[in-house]
Amino acid sequence: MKNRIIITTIFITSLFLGACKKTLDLNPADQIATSTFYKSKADFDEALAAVYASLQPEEFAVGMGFRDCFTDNGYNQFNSGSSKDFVQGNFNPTTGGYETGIYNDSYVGIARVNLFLQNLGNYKGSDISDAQRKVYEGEVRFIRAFFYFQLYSIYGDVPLVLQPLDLSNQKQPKVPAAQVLTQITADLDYSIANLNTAAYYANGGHAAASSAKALKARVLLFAGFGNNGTPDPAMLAQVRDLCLDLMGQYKLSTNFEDIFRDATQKNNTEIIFSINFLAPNNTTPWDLYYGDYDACAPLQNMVDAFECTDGLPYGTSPLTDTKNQFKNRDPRLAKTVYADSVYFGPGKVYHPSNLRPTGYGTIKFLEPNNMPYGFSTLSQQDAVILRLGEVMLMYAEAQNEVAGPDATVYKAMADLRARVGMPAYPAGYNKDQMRERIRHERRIELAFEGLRHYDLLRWHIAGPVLNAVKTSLINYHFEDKFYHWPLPQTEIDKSGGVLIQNPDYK
Amino acid sequence: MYKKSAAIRCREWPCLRSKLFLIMKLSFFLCLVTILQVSAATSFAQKISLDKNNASLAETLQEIHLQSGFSVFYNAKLLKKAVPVNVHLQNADLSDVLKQCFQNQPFSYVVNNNTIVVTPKPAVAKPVQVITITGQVKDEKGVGLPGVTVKVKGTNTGAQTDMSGFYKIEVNDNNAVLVFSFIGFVSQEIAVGNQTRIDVALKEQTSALSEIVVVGYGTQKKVNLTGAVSSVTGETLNKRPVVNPASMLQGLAPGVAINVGSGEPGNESVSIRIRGNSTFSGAGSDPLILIDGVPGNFSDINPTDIDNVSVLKDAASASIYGSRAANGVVLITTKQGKSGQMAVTYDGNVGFYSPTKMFKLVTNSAQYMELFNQARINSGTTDPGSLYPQDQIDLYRNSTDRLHYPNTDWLSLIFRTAPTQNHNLTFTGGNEKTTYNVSLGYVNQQGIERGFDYKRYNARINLTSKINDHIKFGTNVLLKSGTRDAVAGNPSSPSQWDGSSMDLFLSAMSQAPTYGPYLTDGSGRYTYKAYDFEYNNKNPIAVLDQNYKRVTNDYAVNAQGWFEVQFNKDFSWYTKGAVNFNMDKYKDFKATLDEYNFRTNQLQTSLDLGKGLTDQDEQTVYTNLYSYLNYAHNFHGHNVKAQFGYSVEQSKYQYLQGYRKNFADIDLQELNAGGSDIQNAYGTSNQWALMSYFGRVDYDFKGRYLLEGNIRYDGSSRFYGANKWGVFPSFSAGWRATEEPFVKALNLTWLDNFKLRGSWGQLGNQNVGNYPYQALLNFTGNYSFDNSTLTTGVAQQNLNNPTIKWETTTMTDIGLDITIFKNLSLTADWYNKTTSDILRQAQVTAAVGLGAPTINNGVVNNRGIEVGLSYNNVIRDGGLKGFAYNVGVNVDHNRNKLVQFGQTEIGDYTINQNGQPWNSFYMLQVIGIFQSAAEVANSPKQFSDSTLPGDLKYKDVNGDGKIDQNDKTIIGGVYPKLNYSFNIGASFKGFDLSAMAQGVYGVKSYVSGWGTIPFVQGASPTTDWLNAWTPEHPSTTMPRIYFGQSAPDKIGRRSSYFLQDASYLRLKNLVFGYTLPAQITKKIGINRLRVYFAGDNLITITKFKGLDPERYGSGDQVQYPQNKIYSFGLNVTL
Repeated sequence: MKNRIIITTIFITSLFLGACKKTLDLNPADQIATSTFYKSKADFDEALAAVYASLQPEEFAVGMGFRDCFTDNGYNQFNSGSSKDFVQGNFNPTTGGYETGIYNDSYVGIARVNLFLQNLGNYKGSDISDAQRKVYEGEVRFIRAFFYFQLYSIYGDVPLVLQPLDLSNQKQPKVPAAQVLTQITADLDYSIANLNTAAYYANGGHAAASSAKALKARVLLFAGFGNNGTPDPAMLAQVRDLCLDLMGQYKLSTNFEDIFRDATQKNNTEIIFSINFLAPNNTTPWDLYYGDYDACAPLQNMVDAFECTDGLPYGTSPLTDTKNQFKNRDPRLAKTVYADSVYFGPGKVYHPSNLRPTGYGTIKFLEPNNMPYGFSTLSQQDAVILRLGEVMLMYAEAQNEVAGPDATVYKAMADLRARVGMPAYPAGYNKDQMRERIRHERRIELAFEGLRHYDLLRWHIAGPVLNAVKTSLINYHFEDKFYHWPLPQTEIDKSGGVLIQNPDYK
Repeated sequence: MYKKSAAIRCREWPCLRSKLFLIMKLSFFLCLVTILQVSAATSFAQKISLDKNNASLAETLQEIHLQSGFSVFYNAKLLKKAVPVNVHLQNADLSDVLKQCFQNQPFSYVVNNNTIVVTPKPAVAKPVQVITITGQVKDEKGVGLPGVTVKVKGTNTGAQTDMSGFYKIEVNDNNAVLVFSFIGFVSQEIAVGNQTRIDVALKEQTSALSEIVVVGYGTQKKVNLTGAVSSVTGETLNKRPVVNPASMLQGLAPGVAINVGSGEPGNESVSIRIRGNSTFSGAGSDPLILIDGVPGNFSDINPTDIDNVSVLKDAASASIYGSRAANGVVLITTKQGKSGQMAVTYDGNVGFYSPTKMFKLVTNSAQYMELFNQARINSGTTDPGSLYPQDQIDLYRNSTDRLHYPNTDWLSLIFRTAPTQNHNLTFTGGNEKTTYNVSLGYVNQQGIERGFDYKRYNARINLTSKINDHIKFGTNVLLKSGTRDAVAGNPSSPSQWDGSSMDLFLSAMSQAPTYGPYLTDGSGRYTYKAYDFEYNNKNPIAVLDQNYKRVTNDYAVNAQGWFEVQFNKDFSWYTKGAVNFNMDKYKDFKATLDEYNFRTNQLQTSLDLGKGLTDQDEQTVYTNLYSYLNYAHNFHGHNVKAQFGYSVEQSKYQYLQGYRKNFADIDLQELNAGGSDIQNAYGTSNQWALMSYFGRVDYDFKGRYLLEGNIRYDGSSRFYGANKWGVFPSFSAGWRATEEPFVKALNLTWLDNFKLRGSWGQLGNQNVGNYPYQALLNFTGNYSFDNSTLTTGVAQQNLNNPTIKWETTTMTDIGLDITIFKNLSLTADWYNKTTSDILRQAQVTAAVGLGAPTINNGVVNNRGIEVGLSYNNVIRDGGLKGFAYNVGVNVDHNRNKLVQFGQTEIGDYTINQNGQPWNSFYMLQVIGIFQSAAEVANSPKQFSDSTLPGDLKYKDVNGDGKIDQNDKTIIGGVYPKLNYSFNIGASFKGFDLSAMAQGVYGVKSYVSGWGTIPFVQGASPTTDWLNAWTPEHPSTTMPRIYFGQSAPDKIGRRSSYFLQDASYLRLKNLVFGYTLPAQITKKIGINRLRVYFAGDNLITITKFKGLDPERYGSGDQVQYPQNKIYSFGLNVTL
């Protein structure tokens, strides 16, 4: 008996002892080892999806309205992106928010592009044709240009990373902004030359050549104003030509609001590029943030900026009704701003759970069918990044600067305004008068689409405009150094002296 | 007809028989038989003829069987004792035949249907012999000892000595053995024999010198220890009436800092830190917890099952656990059975829990409304539509209609005094060969915050059996089932913003007193604000009423089997195999809630709580097998002990989660009842494995010079190639001066023990992700190109580092153990612990665009001292004769320092910088409150604020004449300067009293959110704010009042204004008990009966302004409160 027990135990024990060293070789069950991926076209398609998805973070998509809270347009009661710190002038290399968000997430996207290009270069499989190879490259370089434009426009000089980095070469110095610009245009030129010529809405949701053209127009329009707001005619001529091209290919959406609503975004002939979402598994909280939290509250001066239906400013126009602010106003007001409650007509009312600190909220991006808005609302509205409306404004602006307010400028503006039933501009404007109207038109048409910030920077009017804001709950304070944001302090620290802070923040 | 199988011999019991089982089986069988016999009585008709002379009974029975056809059952062994049978009968009834056959036989029989069963004859009860023994118990000086327990070994018969040490006890026979035991004395056993008077002189125990301490893979005499080990008995632990066993260790061992983060039932967030935070890596600073030698979960154990807890603090004692021992090791041993009659013990208590402290909020509506308006105006909101109109304020102030104009105290609606019940039943006993300890436990704890309840069932079966003199084996089995109710949400941590206990708490705080939870129309509908401009979070009462719960079930099965072979005097072999199965399941259900305006009864909002059901299953299966050989021999005073072993561990974790939304009927809370349009499923698994060799050599010369060496060689699946394996050695030495002949020659009678010890060793930490070295791509970045299908995205998210290896902690310890005057013991330790090659996230620049890999970099140092002092004594004469008492003090100090961190990293209000403690506070310093415009004008400009009198005044730390982020400064207090505790105990004439006070000194806590600044989400201000600064009533402590989230930065900046002194001293535990005299309880069959009161967290002395200074750490002010407990218990031994 005793021997039997001992023998059995020794036997069982030795089974464990014999568990060979393989016991210690374990592999994850739900992740892919790098060495086994990038073996077919399907792998590249999945990698491409992840490149596009790198556009989805808040600051590039759902937070586009929050970007307007860095301007005279809106107020973010939650200080999303540190917008309150920025407009109050308490902005420094450690502020964080979008200062680090835009920087970090741009490089995440750039890294995905660079890794994609490297792996594509190494791939020899025949299931990817040369033409397809060029389309892949064009698409990801378009996205890389988008990110570099974010960095270029906000920080100026930044590290230019075109190859995957690792621990050995991670400390990268910044390069002059001009060099970043050169890379952006090079990437976009490649995309324009190699991407499909079909319009974006007919290109299955992939960036088209026209998407790259529109982005290039925006980039050049920004770059064309230099560092002091003085336009460069040669660059603006390029902008004008790119826009003309696009205006021939795209058509305005019949209804202004259709551009931003879920059901009418698909195949919308105005959209030149959008960042897409799809419920239930790939959503972004448009309705929660704008419709329930009121995270983007239009300021009174923004509301006042909408003209009356006669085309005259609110307050000046005889149609002004101070008792009922929304009466007789540019229809885009009611399609951009809600007062107190979200109202889409009788029975389509939602009362946000949060306070409206300015008395207003942004209705532009809300989907009526998603009511009531809340935590579990699954919003899938696409973030419209480039659209014909902006292109027409860019055309008018560029043409006005290059050639003055000619008939094409008038027509572009008249067409854009006619869509919402607003009258054309009166004839006889000089260049300066037209410039003011176009700039105003941009603020109205593109309200909360995140472009106001760029505009204030490139026109070099951020100081006078922001320091004049008196209708917010906080005191605005803008200094010239804010034309370029500081690089995040953590990056300066981690680079061990390789990356140099922008001079105004040292 | 002859049936071969008719006479069935009962087979001999196998050699492995247990008397207990035998008795149980037999008596069950007999009962059955007796019952059946009644119905069988009619079938006795058969006639039988027998003619036997001196025949064997077996043979006779065979004959009966053949004639009657009745089956006959008998035990062959039993039948050997049969006397020969003489029977002569013709055509007799079966009953008569049997009667004759069994005449004079030492058996009896039963007839049942067609079966005859031979049964042992019930023994004729011998008259019980009663021997009365008397005597006196004295100490060595010949003084009688009162209160000594005298017990008959192996029974529950016992007595106690009287005031002069005399006792009287009755035993049944001369073989009885008396056991004399008394605290502070060595127990003695004396065989009764022919004596009737037994006098005993008990020898005093030289305090702790003979104590045995549990160490890694074995035990060690305390006097021979060379490492730093603290040992706590289960009895001491169980003085605390709390539910979580880990928290019971608090204050009981120097150098072991226990922090109970929260009082939430079943979710206490107990942190155990042994000698500081030794690393800043994800590997963490939690110690390794071993239950009977196998890693386990402290909170799975039923506290009453704990026999002993040993904390291995230094490298020498812990390094035998190598790669996981860097943060120390906690060894928990559970109770084993004791031979003797079965003893049944019941231990139970009922406690009443209440918050140690609750916020005092402004609950008077008129006051609230006025402060609200003031705060709004101060924050720049002057729009009359956002302020309470004066007439409304007056209505609330003057109305007698409190239904429509209430002063609602929302906190009182969700907090309560709640009962907790705790019942434990233990059965222990056995014989010389087999012993058992079986226990059952039940806890039902209701939360002081409504909606948070916990129930736990525990069972433990510990068996030990000797096969023979050489082989022992046993099993330890733990079964646990816990059910935790929480409000739906994410209750994973009670101290995180989305933790549901905190969420409900802050929801209640955010409500204004101007409305109650229900509409006044009696419809039971829930409210949402009285005025539209009010702020609030969800109505907490609605959530509670609607039962939107997350019910978590956790099950644990820990099964261990072991055997030990003692080959000879010197060699032994021990092997244990264990399987731990842990399963956590939860169901979380939420639906939308309609909330109505309190005044208008209009539907105000359809509160969206994330409608749907999440169902999750998580399970971990862990297996461990270890085996080691021991050798011990004494070579003429040279004691040598050696050990060598092997261990292999594997763990596999998996989880599965399903989610559905849109439930048609909210009472049908199963996934299949949900809509199929929105549904998700998630699941994954991962595993790790560890393989180890370990060894130990002990040497001592006559107990004078002690040496020990340990080594462990660990291989981990988490590392790659050559880095898989790591060596962790340690050495220690001790010198017991009191054993030296020259010291003995001094004849220092007061000095009982003087031991100096030192140790050095290295420990490891490998607790990083499961596959940190591999380059992996993640399924991430799904994207929909066409807005109708989602394309799976795949991307690399992190850089990898294949050269990753163990984190190493090197520790030196110098200690001193002194015992003087037999009863006064001092243990002191100094240690220096350095952790290097820390498994940290690399500091990667953002330009890389990928997450940081884990690398080995960084050094943290912890240095400290610990002192434990204890004194115990028994008064032997005078009026207080028999009065036993003890006093103890534990103090420890630890200093944490980042020796090499890399680039400084600044967090929200913390900084990590070389030379400073990990996560030091870093913020603006507030030096007061501006009292006048002149003071503002004469002070440095603060940011771009429009500073007003009444605002916080920040210090210009860098002296540049302006206040900005460059004026942030390091403020000490992230770790306590001292942890300390005092305990006293006393017992006299059946009464016992013990108290433990525990404190921390020199620690600060940064608090934010609800309860700090008023009106965060509308939260009512604390009553302090009634004294907020105003021009009329300037204050030097409370600044101007601003309004919650729209408060200007000038009040909300991270500053020392929110950094509070969290030092405290609290009466952690007070127990007062009374044991009824045994003479009385014996009469009702109870050996011991004790009633007691136990209180917890009864008194707290602190400057902390928030809820409780003992908290999870810095962060939101609102956390589930700590419990103050008054409990009443009963302890009965049968």
